[in-house]
Amino acid sequence: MAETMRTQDLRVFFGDTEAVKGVDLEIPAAAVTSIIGPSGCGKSALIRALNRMHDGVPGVRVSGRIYLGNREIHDEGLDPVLLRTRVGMVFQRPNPFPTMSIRQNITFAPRRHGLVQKGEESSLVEMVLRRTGLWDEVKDRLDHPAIALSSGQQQRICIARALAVRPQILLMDEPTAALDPTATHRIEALLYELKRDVTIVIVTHNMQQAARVSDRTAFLDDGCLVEYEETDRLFTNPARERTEAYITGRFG
Amino acid sequence: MSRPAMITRPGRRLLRERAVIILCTTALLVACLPLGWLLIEVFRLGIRHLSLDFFAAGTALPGLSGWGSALAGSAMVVGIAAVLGIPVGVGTGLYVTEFGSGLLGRVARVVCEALAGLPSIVAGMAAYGLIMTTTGRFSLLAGGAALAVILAPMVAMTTMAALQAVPRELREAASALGLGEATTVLRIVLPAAWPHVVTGTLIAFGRVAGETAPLLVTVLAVGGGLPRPGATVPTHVYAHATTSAPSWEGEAWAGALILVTAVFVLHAAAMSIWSRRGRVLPVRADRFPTGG
Repeated sequence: MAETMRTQDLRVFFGDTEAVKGVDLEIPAAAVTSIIGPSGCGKSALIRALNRMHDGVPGVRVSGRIYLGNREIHDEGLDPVLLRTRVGMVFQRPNPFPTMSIRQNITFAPRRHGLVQKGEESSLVEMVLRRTGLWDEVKDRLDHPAIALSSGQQQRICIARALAVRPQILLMDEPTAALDPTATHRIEALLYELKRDVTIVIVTHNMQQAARVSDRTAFLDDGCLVEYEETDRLFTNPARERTEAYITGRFG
Repeated sequence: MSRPAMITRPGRRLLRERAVIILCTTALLVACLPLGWLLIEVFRLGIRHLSLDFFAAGTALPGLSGWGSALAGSAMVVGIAAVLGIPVGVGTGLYVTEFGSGLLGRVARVVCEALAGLPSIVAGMAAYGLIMTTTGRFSLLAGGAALAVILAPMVAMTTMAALQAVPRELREAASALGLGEATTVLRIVLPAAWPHVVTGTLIAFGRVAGETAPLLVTVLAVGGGLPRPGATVPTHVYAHATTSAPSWEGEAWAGALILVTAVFVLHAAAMSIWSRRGRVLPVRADRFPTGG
């Protein structure tokens, strides 16, 4: 089920550079929250902190608190690897496992985590492929390599793969940046369906996309959260001058 | 200033381009002509002596077994080298690339690089020292061990290169699904890198199959009483080529042809695996996430 997320004074450092400078963000459950801002503003650094992707990366340090529901995700007792089954992620470029079939791409992680029994695999595959609108396109070639698909389909396989471990939150780091407009449209339409039972956080540098898909929008600039509002409000009546300058194309 | 000049006078640029092309072509010919000539000669002189008899019969050189057993000996030596060298090489490559960020990993990388450039006779002497001083005689096993010493670092280097070529995105995808490091490396990254590893290993095979120096001090004693506990193609070629009788020299050419053919087949196999399976790795246009 969808869950909320909340950051408190979140900071991310790359070496001596502070990429995220104390962000407080409340992400509502079962909604799409988008994070926009110019290149280098810290969007990716922020979203990657939410499932601890920075862990173990040399030179990267994260401080502050991040809550998944009521649980602080840096808690001693919390396994960062298992955290990522709760907080899934989809990346900018489609990255299906190249040596695996469509089916294997989807079932590999749930099997490792013991989330699916042998007999239930087919129904899991069908369920996530239906949810990502791929079932009719690929149902006859589930055992074909996933990398034989178009990049738009590959990206939806990656979303299906992420959904297969039943995350509460799905983080998407510019998921359509490498796709053509048609494939982009399909994924945007998908978000609308998905948000009923998974909380979605999407980083995008495409303001129209943020306006189309999200319920709330956070505008990030130079590592600081400038404005965080309901999407309609932020785009039609921004409170801050800096936000207005960005969304009207005066910078960024 | 210079712009109009370039538009009106393309002559110099064209001249320079042509000069570069001529230089490169010359370099290519200098590199390839002797090689081509060598291959033609090996083929021309070697094919005359090749026949079924050649493999079945003994050799003209007293005290040596026939070419058939030499071929079998070579296969065994290379096989032993594979059994000993590949697991060690792949394991080392895996450790250095995936888990060896500490001191041990850095040392292992340097050692591999040094060993990959090891003069092969030294590898032979290592096997001599380790195995033959213990068993007290020349053997195919010692020869295989010597070749393994050469093979393992080559396989390790090829494994490292292969694993490093796997895009970071793939590891991130696995990590984002809550898969642990060991699972990611063994089930996702290594399979993706495998065609690359196999290709490199086959090419390394081609090299060790033709190695002679380490085998001379392990498999076969040259001069002296020829205890002849084993025979391989390279040492046979060596033994035949260093005698003065013309018919034996002919057999040396035939042996050389066998070696060249073996290396060629290994390379062809490597290339075909690469062209069919090498493409599983997605092209990586950029290695770093943009934006944000």
